[in-house]
Amino acid sequence: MAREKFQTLTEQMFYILLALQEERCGADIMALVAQITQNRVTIGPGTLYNLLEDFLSAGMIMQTKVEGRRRSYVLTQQGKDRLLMEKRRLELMLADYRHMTAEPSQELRQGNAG
Amino acid sequence: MKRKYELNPYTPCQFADIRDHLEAMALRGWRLERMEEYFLVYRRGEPKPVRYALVFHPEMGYLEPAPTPEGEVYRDYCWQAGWEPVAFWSTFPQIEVYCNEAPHPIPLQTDRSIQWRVMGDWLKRRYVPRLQTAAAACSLIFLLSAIFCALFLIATEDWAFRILTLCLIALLIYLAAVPLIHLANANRWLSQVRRAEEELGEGPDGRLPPLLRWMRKAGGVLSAVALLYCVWYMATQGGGIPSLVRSVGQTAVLLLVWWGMDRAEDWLRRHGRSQAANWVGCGFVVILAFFILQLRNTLF
Repeated sequence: MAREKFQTLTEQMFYILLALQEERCGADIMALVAQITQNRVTIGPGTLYNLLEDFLSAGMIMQTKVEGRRRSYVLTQQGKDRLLMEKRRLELMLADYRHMTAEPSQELRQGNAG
Repeated sequence: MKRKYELNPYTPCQFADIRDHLEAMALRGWRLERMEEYFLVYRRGEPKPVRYALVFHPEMGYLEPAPTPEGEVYRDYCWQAGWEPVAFWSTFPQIEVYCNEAPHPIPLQTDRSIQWRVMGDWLKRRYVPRLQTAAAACSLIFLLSAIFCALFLIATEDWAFRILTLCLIALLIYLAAVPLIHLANANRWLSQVRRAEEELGEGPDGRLPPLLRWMRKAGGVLSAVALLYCVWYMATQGGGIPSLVRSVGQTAVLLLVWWGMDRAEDWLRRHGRSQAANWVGCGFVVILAFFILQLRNTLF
């Protein structure tokens, strides 16, 4: 059965949406994501192009500027909502992990240390 | 500038074979300049490791001026990562070759499901319909020609001519089967790509399947045998050396015209203003080719 597109975001989708919280040129996103993740996540130019087109078609980003070959994008409200939904999903997953492995939360550890 | 011409035996399903071959040539100091229907054209360069990759642009039309505005944006992103465009494949203009001289470049596609989706779109929109048309037309033409040759086979008593006719019938049946097998392979490729996109399989390996590899060898042997026999027949039975020279000359003109049409289409894509204008230009090229072929009959 086909997985619904954007049902869950891949790392590359997540970081592209994160980068487009501010208006940015598509070409700058690759360098920014590498910088944020300290080269842990790399986005290939083909993947970036295709994902930006997909987000544009889905209404999650909008094109703000076109200067020759360089196009700038920013998140729409739909994109912001999707990013927030993904953030909550990841937080829930992290909470479930901590619960199942009995790993104390960050705050509890800091409290014990103090 | 020194150039090298090499026969192009590749089909689009051999994207990994093509990549490996171009990288091997770059190590020997030959950098790809053009990718034509029958030839790979290289220019001399410094022998060094160069990474190559094939990019599929399914949205691009057959005679659309290249690169398209979307293609320009794609190139801009690629330049950021050190990938440079090298050439379009003239037979399949939606396929573009890129190269990167960095030792460990970021791959063009870092998300495999997107890679398979784009490839699947190209297969479904551009490659399979074209193969369906070619298979229908070629099969009909070559099978009818084989039947026509079979009538000669029955009608004649000359054994040398019968063997010639048999060689031609075998070749025509092979030529009728080739596009059908390519179509079946393309559908298999599309099915593998769709499964890979849904993460249900590995995806195509980009190498020539064993059946097609065997077919290519068999076709080569069959063509060589048929050709040698035709040459022998024309030289000894069919009118001697003048007849042979006439046939070789006519065939050479036909191949040159076919090659010229391919180069003209490539020129239109690089210099044309719009797809509609390019189709009109292509129409003029076809008419010119027709007149040259008519002239061929007069000259030879």
